[in-house]
Amino acid sequence: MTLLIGALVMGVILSFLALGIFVSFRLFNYPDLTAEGSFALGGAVIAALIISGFEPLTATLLAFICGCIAGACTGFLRSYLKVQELLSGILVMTSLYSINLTIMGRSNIPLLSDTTVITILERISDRMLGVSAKAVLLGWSIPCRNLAVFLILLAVLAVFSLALYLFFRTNIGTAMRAVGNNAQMVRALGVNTNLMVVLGIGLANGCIALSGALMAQYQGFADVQMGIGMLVWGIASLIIGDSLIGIRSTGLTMAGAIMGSVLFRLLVSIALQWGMNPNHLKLVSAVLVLLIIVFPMMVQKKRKKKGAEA
Amino acid sequence: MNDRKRLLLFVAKRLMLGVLLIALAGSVLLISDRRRELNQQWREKRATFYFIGYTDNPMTEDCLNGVIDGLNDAGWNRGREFDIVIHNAQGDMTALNGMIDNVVQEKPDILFTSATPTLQTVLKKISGIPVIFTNSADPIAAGAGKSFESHLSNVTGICTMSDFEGMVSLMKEIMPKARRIGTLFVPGEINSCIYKDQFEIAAEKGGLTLTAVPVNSSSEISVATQTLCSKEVDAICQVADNLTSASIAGIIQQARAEKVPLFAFLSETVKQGAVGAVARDYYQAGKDSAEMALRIMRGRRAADIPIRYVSRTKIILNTDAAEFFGIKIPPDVLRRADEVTGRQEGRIR
Repeated sequence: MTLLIGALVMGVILSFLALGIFVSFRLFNYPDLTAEGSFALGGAVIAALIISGFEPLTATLLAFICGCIAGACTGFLRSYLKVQELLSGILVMTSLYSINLTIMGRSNIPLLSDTTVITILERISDRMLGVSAKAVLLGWSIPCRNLAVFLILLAVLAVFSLALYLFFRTNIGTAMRAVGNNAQMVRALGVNTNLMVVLGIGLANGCIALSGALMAQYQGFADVQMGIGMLVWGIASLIIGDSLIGIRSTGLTMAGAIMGSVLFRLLVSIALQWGMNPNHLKLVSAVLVLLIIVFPMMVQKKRKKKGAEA
Repeated sequence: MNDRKRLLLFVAKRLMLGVLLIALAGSVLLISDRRRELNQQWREKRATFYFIGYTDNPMTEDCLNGVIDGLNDAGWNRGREFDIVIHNAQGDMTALNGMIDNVVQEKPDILFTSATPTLQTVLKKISGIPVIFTNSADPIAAGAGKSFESHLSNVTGICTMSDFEGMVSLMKEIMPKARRIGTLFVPGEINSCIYKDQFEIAAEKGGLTLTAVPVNSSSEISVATQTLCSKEVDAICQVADNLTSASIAGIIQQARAEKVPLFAFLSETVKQGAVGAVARDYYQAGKDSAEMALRIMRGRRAADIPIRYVSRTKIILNTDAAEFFGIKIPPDVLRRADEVTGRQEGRIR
């Protein structure tokens, strides 16, 4: 059960990353490589702030804002300095490595005995339910504090993604979505597309940094290398979500990204739990992603064929 | 209105698939977990160990082999007295988290960890299982405790901080005229930074000055080595970290081109062309931790076993390389060395 809860919590935390990648890759059609840098940036900011005695909730918010700034830089490079899309992300990602090192002062900060958002959640659960309370579910006993952390994070994720969804329905949000679809037309309508790119990529990287900040607090340390590979995880989650749910509307795609992220973590956990040779882990996860993408397509094709025959 | 209803239905249908799949995956995970729980109850009384590494590298492999051989030497055979499950996160911190959740569930008798990120994740997530770490430069900085004696109650292990004082004295014997030594270090690796700082202290004590040049990726190795050579160092003395040990060939090449003698902290580097090394024996580190494991299996508490350094340090020399750099290794150093490679070996001994 610990394994399941662990995988679910991880999935929820990485959902924020998937949402960020959804904003830049889907809404803006922008191959934004800043993600790997801003994920670690979130961890770096939260770790540096927490060990200097900051209140963890404020610190998490600040990590989000720092991510926004990093993303805005990428957007700025793209829209005002006319740097290529890929290159703008690469430039910011590369410089973030040094910036993260400077923020932390060293490459790795442990947060084991400090108060983090996660320990706050655990403490709340302890106070309400007792330290070693266990919930029994169909014969499995679960430590309540783990369950509480998961449920509260899930609630936060729900509120956050709802807010994001509502934001994309406001005027400015709609303009942002339109920029990704057809920038020329939007420009003709008198919207400052450059500004929209800056804001949008900023928002995307804010989500990613938030994910990094939560991850650092959950695993108990921040490391300058923790962003490595995150872009791939995020895109994989997004694509799993797409093939599960389709890309017809913003809300559905967002839900898909979250589900994809959770599902992906579960699948990885299953693979680990079945004692698969860890050397094959990356290959197996690639095959899993492929299967999830191809399978719905094949089902659809078959259905269409049937329809044609009938 | 009808349209709206249909849309809602459609949305619900779509979301359902995702929820269903998640539930399915979750229950598969749970059921296979349950099966294992039952297995656990019926399992023969055979000890289960876990070994988790962070990246694949020679140091981790040496540690692992040491652990297994150490247990064998004490009469514990794999498959008879103990089972060992080996995981490696391949540099992916999210995978590391999953692996360690898995260990929490499996409740092995002892968990061995290699590398600092593994240790740190374990420190956060595991409290009831005895943990023995190896291949960790500075467990105290990583959060394993206050000192080598007073540490977390379930964690102990072998610290593999390099023997910098030994290196400084070896340097002084082999190159008595050397005053400035240099190294590359990786600001992104905590162990590399700690090594650099510790080496600086040891060098100063021995009357040498250390020049350190930062390097961030394997593509910068050549340029960084050139920069280091241009700072007029008498010798390069490369600290051991993941990046530079993986791209040591580039350092060796540049050092040879600039005729600056190279020393190292890994035995492998000497075979590739460094003059000498004072190497912590990672294989021995594995054996030492196997010995700790046996003590725990016999009923000692991890809390009562102090963290300690690897019990063995090897001096390894390469006479070919020494000749190339125009260095004469004093005969008594050669005699004292644990391993000598190179053509002249037979002649001198």
